[in-house]
Amino acid sequence: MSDFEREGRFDEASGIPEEVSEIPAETPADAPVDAPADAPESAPEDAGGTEEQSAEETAAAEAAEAAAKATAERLAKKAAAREKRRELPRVLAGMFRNMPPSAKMALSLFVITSVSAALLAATHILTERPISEHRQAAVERALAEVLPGRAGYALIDGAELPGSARELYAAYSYDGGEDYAVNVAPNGYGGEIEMMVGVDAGGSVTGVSIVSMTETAGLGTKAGSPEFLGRFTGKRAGVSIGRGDNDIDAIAGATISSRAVTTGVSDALAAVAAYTASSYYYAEEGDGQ
Amino acid sequence: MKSDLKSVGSRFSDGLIFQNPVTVLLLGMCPVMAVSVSVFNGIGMGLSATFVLIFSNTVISLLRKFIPENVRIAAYIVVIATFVTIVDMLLQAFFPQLSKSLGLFIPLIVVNCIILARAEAFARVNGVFNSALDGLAMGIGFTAALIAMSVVREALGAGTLLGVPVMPPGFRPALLMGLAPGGFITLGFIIAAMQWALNRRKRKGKL
Amino acid sequence: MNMTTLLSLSLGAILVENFVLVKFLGICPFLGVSKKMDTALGMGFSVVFVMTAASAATFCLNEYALTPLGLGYMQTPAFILVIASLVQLVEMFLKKAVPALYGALGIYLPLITTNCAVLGVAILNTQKELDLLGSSVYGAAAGIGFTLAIVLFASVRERLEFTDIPAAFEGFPIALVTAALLSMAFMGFQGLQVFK
Repeated sequence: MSDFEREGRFDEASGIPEEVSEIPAETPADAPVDAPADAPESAPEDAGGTEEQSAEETAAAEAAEAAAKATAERLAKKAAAREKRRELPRVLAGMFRNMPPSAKMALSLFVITSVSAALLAATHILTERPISEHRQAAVERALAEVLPGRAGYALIDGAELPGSARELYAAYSYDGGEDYAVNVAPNGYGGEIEMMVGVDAGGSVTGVSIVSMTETAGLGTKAGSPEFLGRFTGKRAGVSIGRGDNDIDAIAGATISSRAVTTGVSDALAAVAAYTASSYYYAEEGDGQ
Repeated sequence: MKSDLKSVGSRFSDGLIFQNPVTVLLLGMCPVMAVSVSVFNGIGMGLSATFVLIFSNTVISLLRKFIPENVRIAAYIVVIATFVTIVDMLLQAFFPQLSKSLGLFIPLIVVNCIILARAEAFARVNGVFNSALDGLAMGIGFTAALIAMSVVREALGAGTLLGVPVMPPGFRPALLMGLAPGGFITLGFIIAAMQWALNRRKRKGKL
Repeated sequence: MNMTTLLSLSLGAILVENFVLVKFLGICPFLGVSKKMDTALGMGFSVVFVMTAASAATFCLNEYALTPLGLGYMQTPAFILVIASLVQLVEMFLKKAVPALYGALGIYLPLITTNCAVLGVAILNTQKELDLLGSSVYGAAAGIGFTLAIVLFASVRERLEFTDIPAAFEGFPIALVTAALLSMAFMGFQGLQVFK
């Protein structure tokens, strides 16, 4: 409906026809658009006040209409954008469906594996600290158990580690003495038995502590009992299961677990022997000068 | 195949009893026998597998229109393996003792036939909510089977339940129950009991 | 890795710590494919091949890719993908080269992918810190152990077909009880001092 059809809507002051688009329909006070007969009649009557009032009102009405037009344009743009957004997945899905099968396989697998890799990396970063902290705490606990009351412990890098030995620690006493502890992990019946073996400077066992074991409950786990582990205290290199002075008794029915622990202790003694042989050699050289 | 419009309740009773993944569908037996030496381990494994089941079912159901037919097994495996590794890392970080006890069998959740079977049979063709629910129900069934097995094996094999001695003082544990043969035999008897109960039900129902 | 270590590793995998009867790995195909001797044998051979190849492949992947890049935590997904591809290759090869065997094994081939034994041996290789030769030998030995168990089991089950079994025990339960007895027999190997 053209605005020119609405007679009487000409603003005489400015000579600009007042635009009448959907605006009347949106403002609640106005009559519906398909009742044009009413609108022109009411409009001139409204605008039929004094000159100043009419000018102000016209300006206000213009501003309102301009604003309303802007709003309408914005809404129209939003609707168009919404339509496009709704279209996008459909377009993408269409593209995907029309891809050659090999490309489809490759793309979907690539996307899935990338997302998985990202998730895994994120979880790894999240859990790295707690995992290493647990390990650290367990090792410190074991060190304190086999070599109590020392001033400090230090991990020795680059030491020779025979057999199941994993790490060599030195423990420094307040009186300047140095003892050692070896972290060993021999293969038991149900997996690795991680232990800490304390060895004094003279080469005899001070104590054995289990860091973790997964042996048969009630049987193999007896090899982790203080009673069994205590049998190793004071033993020296060459300890094995048997009757001799430097031997220990295995646990009946838990041969494999007992043997594993014995192997671990033996390897620990060997590691310390290897280390003291090398470091005392160098120390003596230094002291000789 | 249309979505199952079963009620939530019947889905759970299916997962727990009538279509129990271990004793009726006969899936996922490796970890059940290996891990059910103690109730603590059994519950831990059950909950871990349930977690993986729910998440993998959900994701696979979400992606079901996106995964082409001929690579679907590989895709499922990647999704399942991701969640299993996440569970593995979380356990190592926050439940280290459980992680050590379950050991090898946590990464082996990847090849737990239950998870792959449910992905293939259910999540592929059903909606997200139903798939998640199915994962939960099957996981609960798996955990229930694990608990049943481990209660028997721990009580008879070590005289304890969850570490607490439950047998009369004169009891000498049958260590065999905690070892491989004990696993086989306990599962055999549990499945036999299940089959007997289901047969009876069938016979009674038919009357 | 000298001969004696390899030998003790193999004996360990086949007898003392048999993958199926002691370690509980590979139960699904063990119970599923053991009704007839020939399918059992065929399955066994496929498993030996896949396990050996998978051990070698996963070792290389771990040694030359995962560990240097610090991606140890991606071990499980990476290994299982390698195994899945390997099984796919074996399936294609069998289809062309030995179609009879392919037909007999049918759906059990893809089941080897989800066979805990294959992934299990791959992970155990890394845990035992074996080198390439050691991993391959251990994988082969584990497969041989699996074959031994499944063949023994199949022969028993073939006999069981003709016996009267209580209704509740038919099918899997009696198979499991039989497996329990086999497992007890294998426990007799425990005293064999073959460990490192």
